[in-house]
Amino acid sequence: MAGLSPQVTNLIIILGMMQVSKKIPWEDSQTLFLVRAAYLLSNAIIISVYAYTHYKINQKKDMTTLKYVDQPQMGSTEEPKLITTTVHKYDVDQMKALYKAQMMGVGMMAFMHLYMNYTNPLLIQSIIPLKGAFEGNEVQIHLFGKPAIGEMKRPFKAAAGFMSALQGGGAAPTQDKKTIEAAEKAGRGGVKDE
Amino acid sequence: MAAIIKGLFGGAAPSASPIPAGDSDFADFAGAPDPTPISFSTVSSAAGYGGAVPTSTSTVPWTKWYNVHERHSLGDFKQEGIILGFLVLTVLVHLFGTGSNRKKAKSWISAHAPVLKKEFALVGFGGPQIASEQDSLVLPESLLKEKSPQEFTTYASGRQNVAFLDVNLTLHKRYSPITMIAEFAMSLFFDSMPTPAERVEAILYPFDGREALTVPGQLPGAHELRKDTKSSYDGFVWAIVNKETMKQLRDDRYDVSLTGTKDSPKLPNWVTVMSESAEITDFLLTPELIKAIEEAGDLLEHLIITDQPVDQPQKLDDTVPKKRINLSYRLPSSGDFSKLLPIFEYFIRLTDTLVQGAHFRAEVLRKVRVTREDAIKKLQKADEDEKAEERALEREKAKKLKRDLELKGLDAKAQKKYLEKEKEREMRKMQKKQTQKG
Repeated sequence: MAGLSPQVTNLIIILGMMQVSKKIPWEDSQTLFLVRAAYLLSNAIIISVYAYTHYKINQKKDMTTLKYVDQPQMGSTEEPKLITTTVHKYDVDQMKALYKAQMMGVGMMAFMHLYMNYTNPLLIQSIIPLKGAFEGNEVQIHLFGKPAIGEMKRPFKAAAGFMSALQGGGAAPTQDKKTIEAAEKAGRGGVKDE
Repeated sequence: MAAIIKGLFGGAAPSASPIPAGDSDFADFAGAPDPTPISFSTVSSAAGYGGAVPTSTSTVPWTKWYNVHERHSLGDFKQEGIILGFLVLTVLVHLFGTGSNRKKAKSWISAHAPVLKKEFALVGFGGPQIASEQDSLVLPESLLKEKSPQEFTTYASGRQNVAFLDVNLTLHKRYSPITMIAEFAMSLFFDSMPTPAERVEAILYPFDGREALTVPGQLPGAHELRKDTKSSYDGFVWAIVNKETMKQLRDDRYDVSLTGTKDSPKLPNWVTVMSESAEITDFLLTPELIKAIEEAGDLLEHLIITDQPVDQPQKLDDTVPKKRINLSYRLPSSGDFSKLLPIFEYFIRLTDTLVQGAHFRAEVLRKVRVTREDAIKKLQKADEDEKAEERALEREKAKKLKRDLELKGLDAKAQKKYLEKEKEREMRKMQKKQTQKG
């Protein structure tokens, strides 16, 4: 598994699980209960992992200044914007984003399962997010103590997924000294939206 | 609960009708037997406590009107009771919240009043006081004005180099816990919503050499002021910022976003310096300030010396420098302000330091000036572009008007000819353009 990228393993799991889910007797209330319990358990694990990581981040409270230039989204005419923050604040913001994503996932799943009565996705959704949670940069750094270098150097690159490939993929944050200096004193703050 | 809601909006229980049904038009009062009241229990057991009894059925006997206490029991007023309970609870929470906010504000002013009184001739909104009654008679809380249950403000004036000082206290909305919880929850999910916090924001306006404008001509003391107008200092933006808030601050404030951020080894690692020039930083980062910051701890949010507007200038008028000094710190939950007093005092006295020493070399100021001139130039250019566009639009309009007038003066045949000519002219123009491009 070490050689494969997360996307590939995700795909393998999805395909495999689709085959498995064909064999599962979904009408049986006993299995339904089991699958629901598994989904809830997986989410509980994810939340506790995140919470522990968050706790660790707050404990470390790394106040090193982190400067990077955020590239604007494709299509917008805005100039690249400098973001000055700390490692601690960056990590906390990342964690917030993770919580949000998690909530969104659960919300979607609740809608699909409770309102539209789909049961099959429960199985996949209790495995993929769990796997994703352990593969996330913040968890890797703080829970597994991996050094924040290379791929995991802050600011993180956006995961090269399907969507970012469509958007041109070049919008990675840069820490180039020249770009930072150019953007630093640009006076872009305090813009009031009319 | 459903019954309560139903009851709230009315139309639930059938209302009592004094005329027994079954009667065709009028009751024959003469022939009717003398009505005798039946006991309360028989009726209530038949209909429960749901209000008056519907009289359409024949089993219920004809009775006299009941007294109020016979028609209703306490149980009928369940919803009113619940509403009343909530009302009382709301009022109590409000009273408790405003009370504890007031107490907090009072403890703040009690701690800071001595400093303010020592530095300023006038503190609060009561007008100038005689020195003898200043200390003993004036209660500290009278110096504070309650703008709203969560906002308190005070004012001070009358000090060398300082025109006036505004202080705003923002507290939690303790009187409305639901709003408070909602705001906390929103700040978790939306980046644009700031987390509510209890903080003090003080803005100090230095005289900057314009004392004469505030003290009118013939008053005693005006003459002396005129002679001695050396309270000006060079304009620049310089800030000490808590790193937790620096991203937000750079986004929110135009003046701060003109600076460069650089950590100083002399400062604790949770604060950073935002400055336009290293020399300015060297001058302002005194050991006394460092000590005050260390003592205040990370309650301190920022200390900003600025001459630029907070909002990005939209017009040329906005770029006129207005010097201010800002201090912002969060209130300690313990209510012990002694650690924050040094930074507050330093903040007030900072103008003296600036007036004395903030006159930098021309090389230092050039960089600072260029930033401001660039902003002005940008605005001027935008202004000119807009004007040019307007002029072009007007020219176009005049042209069209002329053409319409010409057309109007001609008869049908000539009009047709005119239009054809115009078309031809346009075609030629287009061709010309194309050949030029090629």
